[in-house]
Amino acid sequence: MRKFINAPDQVARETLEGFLTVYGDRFRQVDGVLAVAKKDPAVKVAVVSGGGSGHEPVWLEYIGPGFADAVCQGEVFAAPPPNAIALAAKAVERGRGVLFVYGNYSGDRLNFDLAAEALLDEGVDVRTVRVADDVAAAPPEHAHVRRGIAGGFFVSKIAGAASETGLDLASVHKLAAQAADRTRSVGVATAGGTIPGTGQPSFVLPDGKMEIGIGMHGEPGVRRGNLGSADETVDEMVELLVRDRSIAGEDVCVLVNGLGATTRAELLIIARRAARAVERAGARLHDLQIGDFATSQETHGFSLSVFGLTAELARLYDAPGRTSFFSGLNYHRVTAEAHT
Amino acid sequence: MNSMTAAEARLMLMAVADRIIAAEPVLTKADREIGDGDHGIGMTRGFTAARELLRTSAYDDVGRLFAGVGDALINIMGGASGVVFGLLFRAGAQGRQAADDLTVASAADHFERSMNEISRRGGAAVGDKTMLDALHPAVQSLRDSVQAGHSLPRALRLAALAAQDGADRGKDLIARFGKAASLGERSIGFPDAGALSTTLIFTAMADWAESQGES
Repeated sequence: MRKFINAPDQVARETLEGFLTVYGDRFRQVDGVLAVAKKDPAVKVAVVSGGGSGHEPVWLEYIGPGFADAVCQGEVFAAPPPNAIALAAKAVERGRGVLFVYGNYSGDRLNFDLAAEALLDEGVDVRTVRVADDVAAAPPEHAHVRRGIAGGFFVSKIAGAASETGLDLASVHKLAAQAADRTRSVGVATAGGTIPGTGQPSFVLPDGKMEIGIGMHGEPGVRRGNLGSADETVDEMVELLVRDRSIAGEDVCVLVNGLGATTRAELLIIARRAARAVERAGARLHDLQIGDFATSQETHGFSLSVFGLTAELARLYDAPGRTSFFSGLNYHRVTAEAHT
Repeated sequence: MNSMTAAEARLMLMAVADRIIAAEPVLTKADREIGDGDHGIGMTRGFTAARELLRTSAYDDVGRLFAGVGDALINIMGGASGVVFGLLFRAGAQGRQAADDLTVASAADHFERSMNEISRRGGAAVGDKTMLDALHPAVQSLRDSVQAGHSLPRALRLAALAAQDGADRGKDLIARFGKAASLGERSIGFPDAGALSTTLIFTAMADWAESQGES
């Protein structure tokens, strides 16, 4: 294991402390639990996210204007407990209700559901959107059991933007759920990351191989084969995405996400092809983002996420929003002219 | 021994916590085969907190005792295991009469209510290669012991053996839940770490009850 850490069982706590050391002017730790809240939450629907740590910036750093109002963080790859979630929600709840946004994993469902029930008992209205964008996790008829991966960025962006407009909980929930419904992702990796506590890689592949569809915790993918070129690999992945949900005629946002150990150069080469591939699938590129938005320790690989916009979702996507890893300033609208 | 006071049950649950903490390497190894490998670490984190709670608290109510342990596990462990093993202790305590001693019948009621709640929330059923494969036969065994009029130590021993048997049979199943489910047939041949933990919990309870002597 090659990691600059102090102790495996302190990784989640020290990651959160580091985040507050850097960004503590705007955020604070919720007393006694691994959760971070906005210091001055607005009177609006509170958006609360969380999940296991080890996927940074997910979910710890998905807090900011136009994104979540509070986030909570479990131990590495383990959902946060219900009391931490409920305390995070109460730290930012301003009488307009709470929207939970998190990845569709059994541990997260169990803990967030208990937190939601505890909040409902106290008279706080709670709704939930689970991100289930990984097309490799299950066939379309079982889409409700799919895992949540990097496409959560789009759901978080829309939930945050919708809440900032002052909409009520039912409306914010509806828009965030719509964003989740219209997002598809798939990953690929050549080497697994190591969980600090166990010292074991989450999966092992022989040199020169890749696995398409592998999950954020090393869950097996849909095809293992020889490492392909960037272009071939992107084309195969976009094909999986558009076969699951057609994007013909749509304006789309594309996220090229590094899984932890993928170089910026690789992501740029991948993005170059991804832009062409979605246009070949009949879509117009509204925005293209690259970077580490959802990682799995030092996994070498990337994921592609495609989000099909409606006019209303496009307005929310273009609304201001900022996190530690997404400035909004590097937001780059690809105009039709630039491609002609 | 046909019943246990809250003070006695507290000592029994401390023995359970010690057993789980001591089994950390075994649980870690089992979970590494088909899970994330963090089950042993999570259980140790939870039961260390539960043990500290038990060490510093006094109880005159078995229901509050079990619920206290369950709450500690749920709020310290996190993950699916935190809720599942927390509910094993907490869910069954709801609806229990205050100050009831622990008897074979009340243990059977407790763990049956817990089992139903774990199944309802988690969506898993017996045969999905989860802890329910061990818990379900243990509950059935406790029910049988109520009918047979077994003593509490005898009933707990039979339940522990039934759990062990269920966990062993679970090795041949295909996982349908959690990370192991994504392995499909590759999960065959490995035990579920949660079923092992469930067996350890019942075995530790039986060992402690037997150590008090049949009386």
